[in-house]
Amino acid sequence: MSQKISSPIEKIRLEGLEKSFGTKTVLTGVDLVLNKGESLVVIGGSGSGKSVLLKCILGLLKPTSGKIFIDGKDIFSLSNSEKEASISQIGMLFQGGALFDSLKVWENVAFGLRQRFGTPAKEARNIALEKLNAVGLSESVADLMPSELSGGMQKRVGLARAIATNPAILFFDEPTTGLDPIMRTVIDSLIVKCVKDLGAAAITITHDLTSAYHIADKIAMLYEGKIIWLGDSKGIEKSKNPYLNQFIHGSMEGPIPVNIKP
Amino acid sequence: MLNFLRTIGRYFLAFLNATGAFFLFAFISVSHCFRPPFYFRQWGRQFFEIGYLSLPVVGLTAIFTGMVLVLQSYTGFSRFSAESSIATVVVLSMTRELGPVLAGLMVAGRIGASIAAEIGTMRVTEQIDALSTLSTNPFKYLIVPRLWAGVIMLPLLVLTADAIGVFGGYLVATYKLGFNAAIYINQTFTYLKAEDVNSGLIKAAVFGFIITLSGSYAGFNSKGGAQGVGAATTSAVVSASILILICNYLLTAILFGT
Ligand SMILES: Nc1ncnc2c1ncn2[C@@H]1O[C@H](COP(=O)(O)OP(=O)(O)OP(=O)(O)O)[C@@H](O)[C@H]1O
Ligand SMILES: [Mg+2]
Repeated sequence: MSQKISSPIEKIRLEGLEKSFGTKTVLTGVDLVLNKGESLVVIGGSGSGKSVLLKCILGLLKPTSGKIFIDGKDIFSLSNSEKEASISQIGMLFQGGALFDSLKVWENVAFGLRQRFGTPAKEARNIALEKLNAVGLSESVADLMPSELSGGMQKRVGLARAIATNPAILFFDEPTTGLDPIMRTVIDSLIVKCVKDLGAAAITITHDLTSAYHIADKIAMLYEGKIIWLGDSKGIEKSKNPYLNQFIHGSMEGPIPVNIKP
Repeated sequence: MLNFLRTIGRYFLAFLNATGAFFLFAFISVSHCFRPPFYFRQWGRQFFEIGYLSLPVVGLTAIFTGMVLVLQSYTGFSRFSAESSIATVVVLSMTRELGPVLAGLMVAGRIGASIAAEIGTMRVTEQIDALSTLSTNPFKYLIVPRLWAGVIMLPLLVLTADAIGVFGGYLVATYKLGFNAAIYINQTFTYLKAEDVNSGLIKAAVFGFIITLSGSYAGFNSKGGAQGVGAATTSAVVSASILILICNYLLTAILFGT
């Protein structure tokens, strides 16, 4: 750590983030710091609130309490337009893709460019084709509608859309679910490249531990609404945390209850 | 007894809550209607869908309404030899009442449902969330174009419906009932005032707003997959139709009240 020349630039900080839906509590106090050029992977059981966490930061869900800082600014104290500006530097891949089904594939990818920077159609299309290439899709899909693509292809179009504007912050909600093993490696490398080359700060949610080791500088485990473990991929193997151990080994025995009847 | 009151109280509060949410939504939507950016490509698509593609169903409704009006009023008026009033009755009923209300109800079924289904699907598949992460306000991109299209195209549709309805009446009167064409046309326009047509157009604009707003509101707030979208569609059509009938009465009372 001592050799590090520049001190890290903080992009996102969460303090005591809580979120409940009615009486159902999902997040019970999440604290987290994410720096520029850092890649964080969030793991955790299905329904543990990983997607909800990202949506809170994006302003799509309103946290019940807690603070969110982007670039050191508390986004709930900002005016609407400042808040929009802060949030617009986040590129998001949704778990379900969330492609606009009334627009062609390339228009989906170019959407952010055209809306945010007013990029002319021709130039935006070229960038879109480039990004599609980066996720392993050829030019021939550019003029198709999203419904004409396979699930894995839709996911990759969503990924291309998320990175199209070269955002400073990237959120990927299960980017490699539903992809074949080779594509998985391609996408993992792409995420690493975005973080290393563009200096983005990235949060990736994944259930795939191989991917997690490949992508992550830091891994966080979410359980019962809190981050119960945070460390790097080397630390994860050595950890004595019983929850983490049970989770990464996929064991049915351990402190995490498995609610199935024998 | 206490339980009964509690239930009533709960429903009343839920009703107030829903009404408040609807008015808040309406207020936000309208405030976005006048602030740029405007997505004119989306406007174009909506004008086409709401205006042009509704023409067949509105036209068909209008022509048969005009035709049946003549038949019915002929039966009544011939009993006291007032056949000469038929043309006036037809044109006044069409422009003041039946044109806007029937066109409104038909469009509510066609457009209200399709808006709710489209926006509802976008909601449950997170496309609306995706819009806001791509620097696009969903109100401006999705709702404003529909509201403008409704408010502008409905009066045009009703104007067309008025003309087609009157023409339908003319056909039945001259070909079936043997009226003199020139006299019928003359009687149509003798007692017609600009205010009769205008009031119908004002109603149409209000109905256009109600239809597109109900559809947008239902779609925007739909949750829970295909079932939720289905429920949104139904509620959009039902609430738009009821609001049209209520507002029609209120507007008639205001516009023609002394
Ligand atoms: N809009 C909502 N309304 C009510 N409850 C919700 C809503 N969104 C999420 N939840 C609840 O919050 C919990 C966490 O959901 P979330 O989607 O974050 O899970 P997740 O960790 O992403 O799971 P997965 O790995 O399966 O994607 C779930 O129990 C879900 O039922
Ligand atoms: Mg999820």
